[in-house]
Amino acid sequence: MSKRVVVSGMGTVAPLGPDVESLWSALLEGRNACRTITQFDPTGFPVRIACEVTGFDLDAFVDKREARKMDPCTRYAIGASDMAWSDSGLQDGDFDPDRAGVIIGSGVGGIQTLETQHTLLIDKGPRGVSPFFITMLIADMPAGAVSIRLNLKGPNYATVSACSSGAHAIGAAFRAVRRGDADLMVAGGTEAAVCQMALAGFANMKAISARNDEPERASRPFDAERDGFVLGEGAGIVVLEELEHARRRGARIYAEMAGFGESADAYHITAPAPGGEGAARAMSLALADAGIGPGDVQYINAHGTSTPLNDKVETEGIKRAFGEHARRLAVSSTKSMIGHLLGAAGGVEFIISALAVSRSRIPPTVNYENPDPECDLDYVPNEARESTIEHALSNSFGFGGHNAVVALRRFED
Amino acid sequence: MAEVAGKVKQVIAEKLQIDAGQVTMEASIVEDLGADSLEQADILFSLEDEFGITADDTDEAEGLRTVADIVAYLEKKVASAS
Repeated sequence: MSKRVVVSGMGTVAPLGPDVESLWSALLEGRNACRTITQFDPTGFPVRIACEVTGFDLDAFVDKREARKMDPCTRYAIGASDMAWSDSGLQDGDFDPDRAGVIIGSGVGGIQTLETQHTLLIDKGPRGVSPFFITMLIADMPAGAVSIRLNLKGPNYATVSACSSGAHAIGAAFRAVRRGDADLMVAGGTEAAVCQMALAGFANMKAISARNDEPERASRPFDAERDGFVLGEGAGIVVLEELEHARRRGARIYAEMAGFGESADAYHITAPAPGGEGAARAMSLALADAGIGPGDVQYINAHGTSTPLNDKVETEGIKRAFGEHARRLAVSSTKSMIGHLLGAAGGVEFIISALAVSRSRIPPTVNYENPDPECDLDYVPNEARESTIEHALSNSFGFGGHNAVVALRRFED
Repeated sequence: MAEVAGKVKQVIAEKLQIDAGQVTMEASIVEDLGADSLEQADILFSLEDEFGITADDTDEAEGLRTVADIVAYLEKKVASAS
């Protein structure tokens, strides 16, 4: 018999706020994190804006000796996991470490390390490459580092599916708990790709907004004048726990994770399948997995990247999966405020969705000024909204045609 | 000679984020100062860079146990290089 899985802890290292509560408040206020890039000089790049993590003090979490062996993607994961763990209230003795695991997704892992070390290779030759290069590069190290730090000896690996990496990590962790392979899982995503190569690459494929002179207006999902996403960075990590295990220790429960659905577009390396066919299947599978129908959902935290294609096709996919009920849904994209966190997006947006369900508040889609006839749903424009939510979905779709959808349910004991 | 020893101690202290006072000549890199194998390699590479030499990747480099061993090894290398 499958078990029920709840969210008992959450932590974020994200643009707009150094922890979950400050991020949540900022989102409800409709604040925007997009600025001219500061962590390197973006002069000469066609796109010079991003949503950077600010105010994150790594020294508060990791001593310098360990920190210098960690790529920023691992540092963000450690920070967010520490906060999620602390938030959960779990103590030694509350759980069996052999039955507690870590799955953390990342799109590209240690790309900043790769950039730095490649320069050293060119300048100094092979012996200029750090002995720590490999361990700092590989995308599984955030999961490994967190398990070392928290002494968690259950299932442990990274999921890689571009912009749905974080959602897939949460889906895999959910299944591990539901199947009884683990009593609790630390899961989510991390990404630290605001660096020169990624910025140049995304700019040259015309995926990111070039609105350099008005950064706060650049991310505008579903708006008729959208011209690409805004690069973001950070980590979003949750503690997923088996319900009875959480109850026995008196855990505070945010929401229930009710279901997970996944699919592939099998269409194109970047463009989504027409009509949102792949996305719709993933949403329908998530509903079926949760044992609910379209009419039971009130809110969707959209993938909503602010690209011309995604927003149109996601809208079509929502209509395909929800039929008439699509018109009654609130659909908002928080990427309008914090940008696209790539592999971390699924983790941070899961947390936002769980808070929406738990606190009956829906964060808005900001910069919504010019309605697009092809995007005609209720996107919660510009102002947060109070609303009782029984079920919410969080959508994440990645380059390569990966679709991952989480279903959350309001929890009352 | 003192120059080499001073630099070695400085690099080790910096890499392991420990107090320079702990890095005595007799201290064993692994047992006393707690370096793991990656940190040992990192220390040696940095020192090679500092002194403009290349290690031979022989057993000699792997046999270095104490700070004094490292200092002696580097002094020999620096002397033969000049």
